[in-house]
Amino acid sequence: MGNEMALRFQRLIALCTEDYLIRYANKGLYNRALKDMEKGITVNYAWGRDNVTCTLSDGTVCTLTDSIERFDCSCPSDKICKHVLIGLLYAAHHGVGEEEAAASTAAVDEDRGQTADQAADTSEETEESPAVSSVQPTCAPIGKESETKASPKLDFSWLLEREIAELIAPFQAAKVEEAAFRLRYQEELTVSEGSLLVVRMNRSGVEVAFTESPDVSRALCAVPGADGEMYKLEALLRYRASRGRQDQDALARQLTPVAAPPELLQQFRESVDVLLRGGLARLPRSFAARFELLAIAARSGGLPNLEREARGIHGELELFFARHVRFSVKALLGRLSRAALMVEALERDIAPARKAQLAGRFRSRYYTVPRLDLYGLGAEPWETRSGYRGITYYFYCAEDGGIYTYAQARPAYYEGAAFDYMQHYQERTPWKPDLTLRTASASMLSMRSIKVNDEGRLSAGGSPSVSLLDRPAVGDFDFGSLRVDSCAKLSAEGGGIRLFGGKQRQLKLIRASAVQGCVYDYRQQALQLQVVDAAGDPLELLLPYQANWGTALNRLESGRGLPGEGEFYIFAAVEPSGIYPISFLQGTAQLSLKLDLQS
Amino acid sequence: MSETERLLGRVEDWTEEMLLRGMAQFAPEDTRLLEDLAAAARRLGMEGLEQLLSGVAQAGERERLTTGISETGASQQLSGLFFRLCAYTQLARESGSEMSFEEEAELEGNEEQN
Repeated sequence: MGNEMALRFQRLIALCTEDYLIRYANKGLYNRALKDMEKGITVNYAWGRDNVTCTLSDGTVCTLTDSIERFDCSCPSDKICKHVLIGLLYAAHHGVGEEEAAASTAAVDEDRGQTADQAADTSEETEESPAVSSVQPTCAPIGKESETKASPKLDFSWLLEREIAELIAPFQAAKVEEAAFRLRYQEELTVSEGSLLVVRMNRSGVEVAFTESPDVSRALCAVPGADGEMYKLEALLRYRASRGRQDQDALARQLTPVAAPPELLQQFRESVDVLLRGGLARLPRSFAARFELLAIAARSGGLPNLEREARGIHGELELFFARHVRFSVKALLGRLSRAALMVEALERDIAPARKAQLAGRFRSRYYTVPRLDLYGLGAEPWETRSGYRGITYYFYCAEDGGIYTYAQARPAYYEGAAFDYMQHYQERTPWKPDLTLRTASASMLSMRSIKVNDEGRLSAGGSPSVSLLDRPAVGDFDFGSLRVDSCAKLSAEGGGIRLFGGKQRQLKLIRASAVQGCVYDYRQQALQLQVVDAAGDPLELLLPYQANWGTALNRLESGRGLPGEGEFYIFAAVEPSGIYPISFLQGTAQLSLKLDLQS
Repeated sequence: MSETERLLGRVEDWTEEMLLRGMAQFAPEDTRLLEDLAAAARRLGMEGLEQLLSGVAQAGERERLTTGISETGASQQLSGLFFRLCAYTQLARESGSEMSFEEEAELEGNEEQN
């Protein structure tokens, strides 16, 4: 049935715009094909049942079908080659198969610009045809009708109408998660329709071209490999979102389910129950090891939150058995409660997104984000009860109103020496060798391809590129809901309390107009800084005494490091027990209270 | 120190003591203490806390009276209630004030709202 094949072939030819061919092949091949045609190469076509054999005048034989994805060629290339392109382009320019297709009793294309001349240009010609020497160098541009044939009106509605679950089915869950994660960052789309629906994501500069066939995996993207797959998903999700499709709930259901091994949960529950029944006083020393094993099992079971609690329980039990002064029944009870309730919840049939949040699944996953512009807020040194020391660097991102952090952490004593805060503060950033963390924490950074996790923690890994931007004055920058302009606003806001996933710190950037006084309160064992806000209302900042920071606190008390005249901002942790300042910001300047005053 | 803080403090003291002693040592005095605390919670309008305290008291009694064979079902329930109580007091402490309705609901193990 040569007629039918000719008709199908016609449909393919109609799709073959320059854009279409370049996306499937590349610009180089396309141009070489055109050059060969200019030089006078010709093609003979022989219709088969489901294919057409194209014999080029240079001896190459290729077999084309009704789809550009299926072809064969006698040349050594196993990917789409110049000869396939010639087979298609030549047919397009010479109206090959039009007569046969018109004769077919199947649907006839409307708006055929068929002329008698073109009808005469059959595939039997062997001499140079005048049409060849005047070959148009380009086919129809995207979205425009070709001069000789009408582009068929293609139906891309599947992109919006099919269920998202169906569309993402061919992809790995991890890739879907990453694409969904990236959606929280802004992107501008440019969409154009022709033979392909092309979605261009302007900020990342990536284009994804969807075909008419309802299969996202067949979309074209110049980025190779796994990243390309991720971009296809991202383009799909963004396109749907831009057309009003709400996919969040459906996506959440598709995310990698938390497969908490039931035996692990049962063992955990049993261990906790045994501990509670028998009581600490009667607990055998060997019992502590159980929780270390449970921690390891939780880790390999993909349950980071449970692992953390198990390690914490193990640690507290060790402190208990060693009659260590730092042991705290309260802390142990807290850990046991959280672990027990977490296990119970994981055993129940709760929503997958909630389960993942509980298990801590996404907190431990890092995703690459195209671009983050970060305003340095300050650096805070800390030490945990379990003997870890570190520094957390805080940044603000105006685009998503989020706080991003980077942390250095080490055991308090390692390699025979104590963790040296100042040394780590002056260390180079992992992203830019000539930039120290100290400088970075007071700058405006532009980070591209940086890896972050669900909680805004910046990764030291990956290969991001970081550059310094001009830092706007703190008063001029939009800090969204982080900024608090007066005392009154501060007390009105409630804190976010969470049972699982760690305490949520309330961080705020508080506007103040002057420092009124600084006095050491012996009862509280803390330095009290009295400031006033713009309305003249007083605000008390607390800096509890810590031996490590004695020098810094003394200096602050004697007036060093205090902001100059005029408005300034305090970046602080706001807790029920008080407001704990981390840094002062004024204009473009910044002072991290402990780290910048200690030496 | 407010009444609420005093009450929470007493609940915390009891839960910590139980962890040291072990729930197997749950005695009639504990039932009475818990019922007193529940009454105090009711007076302060803390219904969620009251329910938790009575729940633990009842479960503890049941556990105590079930001799010999350890019924995993009953002890699981007691354990679950006990830890809910601990979590409640922890959250209540952190929030520094009366818990909001949502927070109480979260602890009562309501079905997840999708």
